[in-house]
Amino acid sequence: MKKLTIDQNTEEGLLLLKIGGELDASTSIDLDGVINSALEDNKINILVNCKDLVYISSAGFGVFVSYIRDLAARNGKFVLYNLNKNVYDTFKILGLDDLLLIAKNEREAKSYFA
Amino acid sequence: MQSAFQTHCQRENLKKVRTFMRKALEPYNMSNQLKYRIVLAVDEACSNAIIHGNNCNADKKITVELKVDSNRLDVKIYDIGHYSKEVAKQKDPDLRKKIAEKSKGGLGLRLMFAIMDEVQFYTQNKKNICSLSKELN
Repeated sequence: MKKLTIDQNTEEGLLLLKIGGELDASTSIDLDGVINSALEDNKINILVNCKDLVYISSAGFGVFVSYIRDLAARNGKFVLYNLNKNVYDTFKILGLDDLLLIAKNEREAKSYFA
Repeated sequence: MQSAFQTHCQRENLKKVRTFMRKALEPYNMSNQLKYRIVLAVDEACSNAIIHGNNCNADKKITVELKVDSNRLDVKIYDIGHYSKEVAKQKDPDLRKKIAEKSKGGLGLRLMFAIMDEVQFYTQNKKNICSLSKELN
């Protein structure tokens, strides 16, 4: 069984979240708490490294969707990168292309904040 | 082949559902992507049953029943909870509305309908049944 792991770092005004394991309707509560705390600390530019994320359900993407409005209102945003094939497949099926920014790698992800 | 799995209505048991499904699908000659998608669709159906149908009541249970033959896969999820009719209307949610409402849920049915060939909700012998079917080539 793969638990969810969330590592946090800050770098040049960006919050870097590295998530690993499985993000479902149970573990997404943990991610929600981390993002909620980040916004309270005024960390509004958030990079999400999904390299070790092996599974995501709609509840996982739902957490990101639920904060888009708050971040946009404060000129912040999420950029998700290093999605594996299956995670990206789920993103595409959900039709989130126009709503969440996806980058291939960290370098491309950071370019959205340049 | 037919197999079944039963668990209590707690969110943390979703990983057990996925483990059951992954093991049950292991012997079949399907692509890894198709197996992943089927596990995802079943996870979404069970999430609905556990969270919306049974309010995460650990005294209640869901049963997942899988049947596979040469060209067809059927999964049925049984529970005895109570559903809002609104849940069944979220096949094609308005994503912009979800952002405006800061909503975290309601995306699962889109996945279920996109992945499976047939998705049905009905009641039989006082049990709610979510039926997911997929033709296999």
